[in-house]
Amino acid sequence: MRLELIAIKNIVRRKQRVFFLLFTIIVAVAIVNSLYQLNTSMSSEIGNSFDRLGPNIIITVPDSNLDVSPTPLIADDYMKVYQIPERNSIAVVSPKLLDVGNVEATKALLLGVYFQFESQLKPWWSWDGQLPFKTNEVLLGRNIATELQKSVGDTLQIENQEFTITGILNVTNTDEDKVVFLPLLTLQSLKNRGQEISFIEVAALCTSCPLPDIAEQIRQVLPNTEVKTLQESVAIRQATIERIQEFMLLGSIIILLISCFIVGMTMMNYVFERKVDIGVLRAVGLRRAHVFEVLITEAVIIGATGGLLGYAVGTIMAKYITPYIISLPLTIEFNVWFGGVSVIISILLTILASLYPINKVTKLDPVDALKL
Amino acid sequence: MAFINLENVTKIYNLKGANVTALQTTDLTINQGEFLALMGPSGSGKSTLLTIMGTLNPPTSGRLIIDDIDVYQLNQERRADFRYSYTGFVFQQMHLLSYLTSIENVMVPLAVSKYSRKEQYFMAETVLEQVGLLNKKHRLPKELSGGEQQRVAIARAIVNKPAIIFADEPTGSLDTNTGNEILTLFKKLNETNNQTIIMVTHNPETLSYASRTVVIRDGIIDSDTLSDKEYLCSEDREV
Repeated sequence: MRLELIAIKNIVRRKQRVFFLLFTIIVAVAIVNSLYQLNTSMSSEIGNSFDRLGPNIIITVPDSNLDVSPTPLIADDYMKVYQIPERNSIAVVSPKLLDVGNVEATKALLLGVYFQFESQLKPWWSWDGQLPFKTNEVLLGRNIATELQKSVGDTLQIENQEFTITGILNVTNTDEDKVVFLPLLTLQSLKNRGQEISFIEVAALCTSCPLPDIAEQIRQVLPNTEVKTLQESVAIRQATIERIQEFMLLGSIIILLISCFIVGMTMMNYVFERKVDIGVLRAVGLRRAHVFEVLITEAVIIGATGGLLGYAVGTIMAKYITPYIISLPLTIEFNVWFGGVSVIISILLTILASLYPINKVTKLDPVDALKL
Repeated sequence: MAFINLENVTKIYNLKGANVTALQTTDLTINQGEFLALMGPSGSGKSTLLTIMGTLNPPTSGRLIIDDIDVYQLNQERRADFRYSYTGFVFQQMHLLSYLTSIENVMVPLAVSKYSRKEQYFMAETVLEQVGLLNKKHRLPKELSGGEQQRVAIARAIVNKPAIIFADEPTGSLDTNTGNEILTLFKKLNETNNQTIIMVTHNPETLSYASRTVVIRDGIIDSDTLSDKEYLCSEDREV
């Protein structure tokens, strides 16, 4: 017989008594764990969603001054953005040429783009028909299409050349509603602009990296350009995520405190219930330290089991139940490291909660514990 | 020199602000190998005296000397070591650990000993055989009768071969026949191992087993008599 065996036998053979304590710990760990996992995953998902909301860096040619005429941007410059050290934080780069041209009998804004990049840059875009694929196809903003009385499939005269309208954007409530979108190469050729482009829009995954650093790195690879960051939108994204994180963290802390209190009360009840057992152990010659060891061993076993099961239950809850409550596609997986931390915290919590009652009960003279 | 020596021992309990004297100034000496029955009406202080002698209950004043050791001068942990080396306890309510089998209960005092698990097991089997319960060594307390539980408690009390066995009304919750079996067991331990037995009892049958009877009344030793069965029986009637 060893001291730890007394603890193990007590847990194994008095399951009903241990059950309530274990249940309390499992629920506490599961809720905190579930909230934490939800918090982490949600922040990341919201961050990613924000990152998909359009460009946050614009690269333009600087204003000309008297001494130096600026070097125009060319289409291939957009490739250089992918040479920066933080290239993994770049979601999409979209070079564009802006010009004004004769459309039917009127003047209109013409924007040359790579449609595959533009649609990635603006995931909120929706349209009737389809995006242009061939060099003689165009996409119209909703207002200009209405003004020109054009529909999908109609032809359109631009600078005396005939184009097919393959799609019409739905209302965006921006200037884009008045724009005619053409393939970039087509507009360059149409307006004799060679390889020239007007500006490049970049969407960086700004929740995972510092935007000013990315801008600085772009300046290094495109030295004759002006790189502007849309700090305000980034700040709003960051602030929103931080507010959500703070809220979740506060919730977790409150639940953790309540859990500590409940586990403490349950542990106190559990230890005081064993007063007579403790009296017996002391009466047969076990030191206070020995009894302490038995009870702490029980606390560690119960804490570890509760932590492990609580982590499993919490992860399952976060993975399978919360998606029904929160409409976000969350990525929650079992994580050995996080599971280990849950177990350790649960053990520490249980030990902490048991210290006071164990200390109090083991201080009793055996005669008081046994009520002789 | 007496083996157990109580010198000017008193015990006063503080109950809700009022001092209640459980044991008035008491002197008592007990020799090794004595079987002492401690008798008296309820509330007379006999259990208090037993627990003080058993090193479980510090007296308000006075000294307890056992084998030349001033026991209550030892700190709590040293006193626990002393209990482990010198004493075994048997309680009226048995106080077996409900989640341990008979043999595991008997091994509990050995949990902090130097003995290996195998040695502990052998020692526990030996004493269980002595009390006639070897065939029920894997039973939990709830699977044993009252008498069997008390036998396990006795086995637990004697497993580390203590010099003194303290028993607080060990037959109090047993029927007469079972009670007598338990008393016979105590007598056998007393005679074969020369273990000192100090037993609180209400049971007149005990007197035919004990070598000495101390009667307490109102916290004072009223009589202290060596065994004389008929005389002791008449003493008990007075009590």
